[in-house]
Amino acid sequence: MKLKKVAALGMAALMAASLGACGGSGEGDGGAKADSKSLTVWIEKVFSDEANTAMEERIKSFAEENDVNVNYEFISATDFVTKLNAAIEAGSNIPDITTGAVTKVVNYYPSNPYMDVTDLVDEINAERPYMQSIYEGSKIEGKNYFVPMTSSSTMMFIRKDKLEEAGITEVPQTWDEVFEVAEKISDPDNGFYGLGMGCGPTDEDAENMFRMIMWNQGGYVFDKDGNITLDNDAAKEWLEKYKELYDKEVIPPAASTWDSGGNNTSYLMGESGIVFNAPTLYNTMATDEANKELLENTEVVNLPAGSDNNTTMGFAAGLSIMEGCKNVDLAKDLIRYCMDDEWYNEYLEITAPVYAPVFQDSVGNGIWAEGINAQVVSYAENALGYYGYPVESIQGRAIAAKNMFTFPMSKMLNQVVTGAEDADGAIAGAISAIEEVQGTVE
Amino acid sequence: MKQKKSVKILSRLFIILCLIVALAPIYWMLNTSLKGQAEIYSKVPTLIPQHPSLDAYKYLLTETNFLTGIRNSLIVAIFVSLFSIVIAYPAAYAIARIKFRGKRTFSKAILFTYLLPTSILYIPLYILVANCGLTDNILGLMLIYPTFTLPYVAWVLIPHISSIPYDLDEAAIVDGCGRLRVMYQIVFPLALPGIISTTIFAFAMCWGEYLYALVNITKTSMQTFPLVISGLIFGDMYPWDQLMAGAILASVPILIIYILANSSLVGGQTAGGVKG
Repeated sequence: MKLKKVAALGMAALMAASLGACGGSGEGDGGAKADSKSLTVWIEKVFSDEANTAMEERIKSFAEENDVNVNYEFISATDFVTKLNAAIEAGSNIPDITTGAVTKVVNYYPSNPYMDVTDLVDEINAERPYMQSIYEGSKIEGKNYFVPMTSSSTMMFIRKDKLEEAGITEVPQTWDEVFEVAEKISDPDNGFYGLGMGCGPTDEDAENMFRMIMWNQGGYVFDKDGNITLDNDAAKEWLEKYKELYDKEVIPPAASTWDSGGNNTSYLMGESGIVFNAPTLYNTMATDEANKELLENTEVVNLPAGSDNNTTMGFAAGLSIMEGCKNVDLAKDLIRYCMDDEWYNEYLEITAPVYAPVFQDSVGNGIWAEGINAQVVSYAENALGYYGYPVESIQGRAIAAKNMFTFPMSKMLNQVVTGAEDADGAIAGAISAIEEVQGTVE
Repeated sequence: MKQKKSVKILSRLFIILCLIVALAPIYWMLNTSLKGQAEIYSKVPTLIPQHPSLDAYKYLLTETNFLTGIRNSLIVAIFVSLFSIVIAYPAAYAIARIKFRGKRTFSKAILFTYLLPTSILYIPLYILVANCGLTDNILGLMLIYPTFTLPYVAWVLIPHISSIPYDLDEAAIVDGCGRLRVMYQIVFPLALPGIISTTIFAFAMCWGEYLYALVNITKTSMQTFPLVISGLIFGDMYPWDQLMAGAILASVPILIIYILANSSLVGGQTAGGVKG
């Protein structure tokens, strides 16, 4: 009998707790405003709590000033796509505004759940011109499906102290110089390797770096018309160079098992002399007193140039309006509100150096004039590349973007260093993988 | 005598070895949760934190909605595991004890339902929850989770109930008990250790569930703790100290439940219950 009473009380308490919890706190819903327009906004969280808070405050203030409901949520980057896909596939609870980027848009091809916002981008561009690379790079077949807001980058992190020890006074400016310097500063007997560039089969950083180095040397995965051109000299030379460096222990042996976190971990461990990473690595060093010495010994610069060009991969992101949005004008107003000069400049200062501004007037101005901030702006200016570059059609870009998630370049590097394939065999394998994706998209 | 002693020593050494293997990951979680980023990424991993700090725990408990996540997870997991037992026990009893047409098919259907991967089901279940108006609400999870806990609980309880001698049911029926009384007053107490352990497993399944929670819950105030922990990751610099602190804190409720239930997990209650 006692047991029954306890069980009954327990269930009652649980039900009461569930009802309480299900009610929620109303957080993020901006309060109930009957008979007024509303928007649902899903923002991909950025690395900084301060930046997320600033964006949250901005959205709140828009809701208050315009007396509208804005339901907003900040979603972690790792979860964002899964959530959005579920909502799109189910056809319900699709947000009105989300974080958008070129890769996100083309991945849905042949569908396109994003609204054309070219007019809004042109309007903003007329008032405050975008950098040419951002303006052109964020278009897909001449249309914009997101309003560019930030540009992230890949920087070269170099151990100045190791360069000095080796008698090198200049930071390498070209890829050939980088490999030469990496070889000189390597000391594998003492666990120090010149070049911390991974080749794990799912290493996203290796995937992007391979493409950029190949572009810079004049080689491309596709041509403008979408034909596969991966079987080129630049790809083969880079694969062979990488293997040579790996065999000479200029690259850490464990690099063949790295994911995208491998190179930054290796740098923080003091194992690698040169790595290529987002400026989040800089932030990690800058915010931890224990890494003070490493930071002092680190030079952060834009990526080197190749023999052909210095095009880099564009990572512009911004805000998109989703198809099905019922209050398009209100959504556009919110985006305009977030692009307001004064607030935008303050927001970008919080996110520096991980995000660079997208406007031309930032180049060489204020905090963007020197140090790592100037380097990320310089990167953004050259960031014309994208998955599939220089293919122009949306279909070609979709094939390239979908193919990227199978990490074909990282796999090629991995096959070559582990001896599973030679350069030609690895290239042939990658081409056949791309053709498979082509088949599914077409 | 000597041989007995050496067997004893060897068996204890083996147990110690097993314990080390089992506890090493937990120790490493605890160890990492007390370190700073620089120490976590140091070239030589440290077995004991050089500068132990509770910063990661402090951050989790004060700067994030981790506690709300734990509360939501607890509510969902307790409700669903109890609900699953209430529904699955009669089903398991019927399959284990009663002869009826299609019994084997029904039993296999339960297994088949359990084996359906979540990646196939999450979109249809999301649509179901959306149509019920329960997205962004833990009630939606309470609707979804039984789809995997119910078949699991039923499937595990069937052999537990079958292992209880049927003679006990027959004796009770001869004494005038109805089927329901036999089910709840004779068999249920004897199957209790199995029921409790199955409930704990059902609880654990709901406790750490991620995919359904991810697609159904967006509101911060409704998130379960796996979503809160996942939300700590930005880009490629993982805050391992916070992630591990979250994992340590999240394992506490499961640990408490195991300890509390331990005394009830006694088998062999039917030994000697029937003659011959």
